[in-house]
Amino acid sequence: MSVLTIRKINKTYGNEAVLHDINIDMQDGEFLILVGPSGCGKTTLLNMIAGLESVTGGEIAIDGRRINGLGPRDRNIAMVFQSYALYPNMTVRGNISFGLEMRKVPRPRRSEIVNRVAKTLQIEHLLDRKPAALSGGQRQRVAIGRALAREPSLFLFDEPLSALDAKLRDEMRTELKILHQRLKTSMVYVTHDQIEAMTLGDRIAVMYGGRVQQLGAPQDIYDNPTNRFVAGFIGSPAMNFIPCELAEENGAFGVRLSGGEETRLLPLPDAIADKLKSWGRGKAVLGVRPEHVTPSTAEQQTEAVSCPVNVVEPTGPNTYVFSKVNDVEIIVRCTPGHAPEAGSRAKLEFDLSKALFFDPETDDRVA
Amino acid sequence: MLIYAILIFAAAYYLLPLYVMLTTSLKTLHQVNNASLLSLPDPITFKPWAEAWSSACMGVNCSGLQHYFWNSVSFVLPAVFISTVFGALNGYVLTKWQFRGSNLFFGLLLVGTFVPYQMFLLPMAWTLGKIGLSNSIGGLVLVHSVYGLAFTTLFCRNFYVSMPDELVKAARVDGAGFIRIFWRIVLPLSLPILMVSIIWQFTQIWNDFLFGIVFTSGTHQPITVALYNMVDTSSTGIKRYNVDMAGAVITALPTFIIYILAGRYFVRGLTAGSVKG
Amino acid sequence: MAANSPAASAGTYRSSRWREHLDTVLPKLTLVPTGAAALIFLYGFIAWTIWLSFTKSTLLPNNRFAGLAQYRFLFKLDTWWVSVTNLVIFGVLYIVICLAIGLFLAILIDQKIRAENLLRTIYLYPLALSLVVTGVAWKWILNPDLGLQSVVRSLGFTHFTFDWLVQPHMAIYTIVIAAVWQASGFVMALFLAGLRGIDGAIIKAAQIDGASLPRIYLRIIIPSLRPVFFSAVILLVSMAIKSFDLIIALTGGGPGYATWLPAIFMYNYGFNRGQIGLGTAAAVLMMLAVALALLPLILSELKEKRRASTR
Ligand SMILES: Nc1ncnc2c1ncn2[C@@H]1O[C@H](COP(=O)(O)OP(=O)(O)OP(=O)(O)O)[C@@H](O)[C@H]1O
Ligand SMILES: [Mg+2]
Repeated sequence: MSVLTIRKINKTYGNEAVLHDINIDMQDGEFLILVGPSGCGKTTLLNMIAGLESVTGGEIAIDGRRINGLGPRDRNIAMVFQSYALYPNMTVRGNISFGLEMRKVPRPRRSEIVNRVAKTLQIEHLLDRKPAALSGGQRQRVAIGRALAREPSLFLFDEPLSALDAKLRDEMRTELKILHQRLKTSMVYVTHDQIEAMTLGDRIAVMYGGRVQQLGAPQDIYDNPTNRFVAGFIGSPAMNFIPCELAEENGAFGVRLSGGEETRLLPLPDAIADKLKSWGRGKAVLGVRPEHVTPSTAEQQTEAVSCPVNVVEPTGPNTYVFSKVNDVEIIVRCTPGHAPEAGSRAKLEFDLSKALFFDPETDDRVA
Repeated sequence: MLIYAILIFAAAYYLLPLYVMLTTSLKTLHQVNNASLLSLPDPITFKPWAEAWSSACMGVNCSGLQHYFWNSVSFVLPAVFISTVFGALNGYVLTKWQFRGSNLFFGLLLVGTFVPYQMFLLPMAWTLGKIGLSNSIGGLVLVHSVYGLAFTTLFCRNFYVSMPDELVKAARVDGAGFIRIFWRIVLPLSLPILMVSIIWQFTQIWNDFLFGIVFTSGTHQPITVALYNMVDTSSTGIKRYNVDMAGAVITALPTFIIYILAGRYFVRGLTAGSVKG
Repeated sequence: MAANSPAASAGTYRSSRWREHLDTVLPKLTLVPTGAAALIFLYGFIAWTIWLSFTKSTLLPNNRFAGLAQYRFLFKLDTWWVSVTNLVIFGVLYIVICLAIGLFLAILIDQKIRAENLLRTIYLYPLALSLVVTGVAWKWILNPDLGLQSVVRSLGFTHFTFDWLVQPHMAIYTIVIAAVWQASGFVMALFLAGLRGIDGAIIKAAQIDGASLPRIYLRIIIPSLRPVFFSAVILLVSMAIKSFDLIIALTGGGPGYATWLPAIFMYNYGFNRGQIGLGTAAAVLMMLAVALALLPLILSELKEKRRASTR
């Protein structure tokens, strides 16, 4: 059964439309990620699911029940906010049990639940402290605890980890994943961090400009983005986009690439070539991920392009090389020790079986 | 060192009137008339205080300031309470439950902090007469509550603006409504601003003279007006400056004590009140 | 927890809608008393006072339209022009001196002074006192018989005279003295808060650049206090125009009507002399004065803000 159904949701503030025809169907127990750049409407959508914002058009259902007009307290949801929003005047215990108290859960049952939640999150020793006396990570746990106490059918998280430092964020990410595997309660999780999105989500909805650009499993989105925005947003470092000409020479259909010296025509695999031919235009944008470009070791490689090596950035596990193809900067991922030297030239091999092509005008994927 | 000299000189300037008030109020009339303004009282006498409190004359009525002191207490406290409660509620609504037009509402209310009170005196005098509140404590409570609202609302709104909205959102998800969010979450966090509002309102209303002299007469007057009448009366006969000064100190005492005890909030109110909008 | 059977859910749905409704109505309801009060006691009364200033009202308000007759009559009155002149003299001196003393003391106190708290407390306490008390105290200090004049004379300067209080042309300056005493500490507090808000790194950077301390103040710090000047002036302007208690207590408007201000004028004509039309006309002009004094200030400040934000 689907726990959350969003049908044709629209939102306008005054004259400004912030969400356009959002459709999402979420299965029970699913971990759904809403990811997108700042200002794309993630928080707005989450607040609408929670009942904190009115719905301009469309329909939202939780557990198969239309909830458009219901207040947040009657939607059977719990929410964790980016700034935690712990009540500063209450102890941790008070924070966790406040929602239960509002729902008239009897006192003994309340303290039972608080203790159980505190145990789950290992915050038993903090129960009598005020939020001001907690560290960032501890506050985060309490905020999650407040949501857990309620046993809702749906958890909503709005960038819960973005206020934590990098190390703590990694730890909490893992803990959240474990928590979800244990509770099996559905979660909607907002983030603008694509690594969080990839690691946590069962499915990801990539949002941009108030629209869901693509909704799918993380790997699927990574491998098969529907447009240039999704392709560029998911993956780090971002995919390289190279404007190029398509041409056929000696029966081979391919792309022309130049590293500043000679121009090479690199032949494309048949499947891609067929799609591009039926698309029928002469110019496209080639999308290729940094790991699909490699400096070639063999001297005379026909399918390699000689390119300048502008900057070399070692990061530890990988070394990134900044080069230029068809006058745009590209990033190449190398294994350390095999990177060319800055200032030299290198032959770059493009794995075109993984290449994507986008329409230069609409940014839609064409092959 | 020059800095200290200047600062101490300035301090002397500010303290001079207080010193003169206090010493004069403890002098005998003989000493007031024959010794220097700056001399210390010798002998010290508390008689001027007793007189100012219980037997000095305002016109023909010679029962001292005490009655008027309690007059002031009896309208200042309710007016402070009412204006602060509504200020807090208004601030809460105007920041956490905004609706179309709520900013306009606030803007229109703010006008009230600029308009000279002279614009309200005549219509108010007439209205108080019509509703049977002229020359009464109730009338002063009404007037001071109403004209304090703009300030208390301003204070509280500016305070609540910086309180995160997510707190209210979290409480709504937790199942609390408008009233319970205010009572359980917003109000317990409001102590600093309530102090500012209460202290500001208390000093404003206690020190008011204009409304007192316009809307009341005789035994219903506030202490500031009574002090003025007392000084005015004494200046027609022999000037009894020692009693005048004792009266002035008595009038100043409540706000002075509050200032000494909670000056921090007092200053915060002033600076908040001056940065409108 | 939630009952999901259709029947129960219909029930909770209805009660939930009702509570949601309550949460949209209650906030507005809360504003009703204040809104009503503002409508009647603020805007209603402003309109009413403006209307009265166009009528022939004397001892009692009436609705016989008089056009601008009250204003014309007002402009012929010597007492009115004395009040206006006094307001200009008083207002300008009061504001300028308060700003000067306030800024000067704030800069001194900002030099990491010992006993800062004590000094601040001393400078600011007059503001907590009622202006009637202020007036009564200064009246005693400034009176020529036993006050400062006699103190200085007893020091040997037997011909020293300081009798402004009873000199028609000088009495207004005694009001400036008392008013400055009352409010300059507050201006100091405002400036001090402004100074404390300035990033210390700026000063250090200027020092490294070789600027002298007075230069740093003149070129960097004081210009950055612009918003403080703005709020201080706004506050002082409206306090000056509203001045009433202090004058009544210190000079009673006298000698004669030498120290009248528009607020005193309004009170005397509106209440003591039974000239409601004249009194309200004076009140309307006071409100216009506040508006005229503050509007350019507010507009220029807004412009400045916009310039800063587009930069
Ligand atoms: N109350 C409002 N009135 C008008 N516009 C608003 C309002 N709230 C949000 N918006 C606009 O709606 C758009 C989406 O905002 P939203 O907060 O949902 O973004 P977001 O995706 O959560 O961004 P972030 O990652 O920065 O949190 C933004 O362009 C924002 O300016
Ligand atoms: Mg957001």
